[in-house]
Amino acid sequence: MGNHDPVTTWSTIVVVAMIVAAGRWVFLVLPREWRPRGLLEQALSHAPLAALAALVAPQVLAPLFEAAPGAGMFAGLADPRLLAALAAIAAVHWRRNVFAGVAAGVIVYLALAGLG
Amino acid sequence: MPRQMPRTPLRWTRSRVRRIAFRDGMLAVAPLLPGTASWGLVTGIALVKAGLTTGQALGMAALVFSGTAQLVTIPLIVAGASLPVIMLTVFLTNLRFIIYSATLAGDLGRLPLPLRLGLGYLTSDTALAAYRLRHRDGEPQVQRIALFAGCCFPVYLVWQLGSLAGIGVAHLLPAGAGLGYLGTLAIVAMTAALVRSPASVVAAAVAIGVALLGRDWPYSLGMFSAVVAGIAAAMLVEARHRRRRLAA
Repeated sequence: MGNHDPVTTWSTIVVVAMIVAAGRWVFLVLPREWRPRGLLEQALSHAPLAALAALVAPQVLAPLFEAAPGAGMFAGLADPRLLAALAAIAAVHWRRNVFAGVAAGVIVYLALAGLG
Repeated sequence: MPRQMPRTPLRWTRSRVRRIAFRDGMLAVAPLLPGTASWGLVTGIALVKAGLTTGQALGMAALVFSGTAQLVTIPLIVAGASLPVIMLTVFLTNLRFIIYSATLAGDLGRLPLPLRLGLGYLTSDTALAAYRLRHRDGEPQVQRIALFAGCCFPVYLVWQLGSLAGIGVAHLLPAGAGLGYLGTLAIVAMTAALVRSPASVVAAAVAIGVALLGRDWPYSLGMFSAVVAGIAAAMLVEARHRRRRLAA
């Protein structure tokens, strides 16, 4: 961690902002007849979930692969990161509310891992 | 006693309609603002703990104005991912904004370009949810635009305040804490909320499986294969459902 090269960081921020803004603008600028239909529309609707799941899964499940040699894969199950993620998922489905999930995950994580 | 009529009755009415609709929008979005604030707080903490300076974190909240995009970018910056990888990842995880823009095109489509771009820039999940709740079919355009603007502005403002609070909190917390993980937890919650249909369960399961399989592949190829596989699997499930419904 620590600080990163400011030029790289700022250009990354600006590029990310441009991509997000472009997404928000696409069909406010393009003709409405170009709106995605059929298979493309379906694919678009599933893409965010697939992308988010693919992105976080390796981070969340990392403890399973970092387990000490000989301890077996299941030693990683007791990791605060994994347990906090499970708490977040359970809370989202129980309360039907994203923020309940964030709160549950953060509480479990801080309780198990502490601030240090 | 006759009441004095305003000089330009039409404009007077329009501006009044606009003011009332704007206030309606703010009232509609108000119950959702605590969520926006806490979301911004978590994001602010995660940004600073990933090594961004206060200025960079504030700039990101103001320019990007998307929790998903900001949280997705952080671990990639930390890991030193290349710009194309970051761009593609942000693009894929924020495709929902393209869907939003298609649904808003009918409402904002005929505005002057700068206004269209300005309101489009402020589109957020929260504002759109409040707008859809309060919106009535057949409302005149003045009213719709003001209502949408009333939903958008408070979210933007509260997002900045929440981020600022998070940045402050992050500086008070001990250095080197594993608090960057809070951002990951926020994405986990957001992902879990998107799992609603059988097809989405399959999409998530397949994407996770392929992502784990390919977690050491170069150029984030594992992640992109996982996205494609997840989408394809969900579409297959939906196609089967449709066929069954037709057969029944």
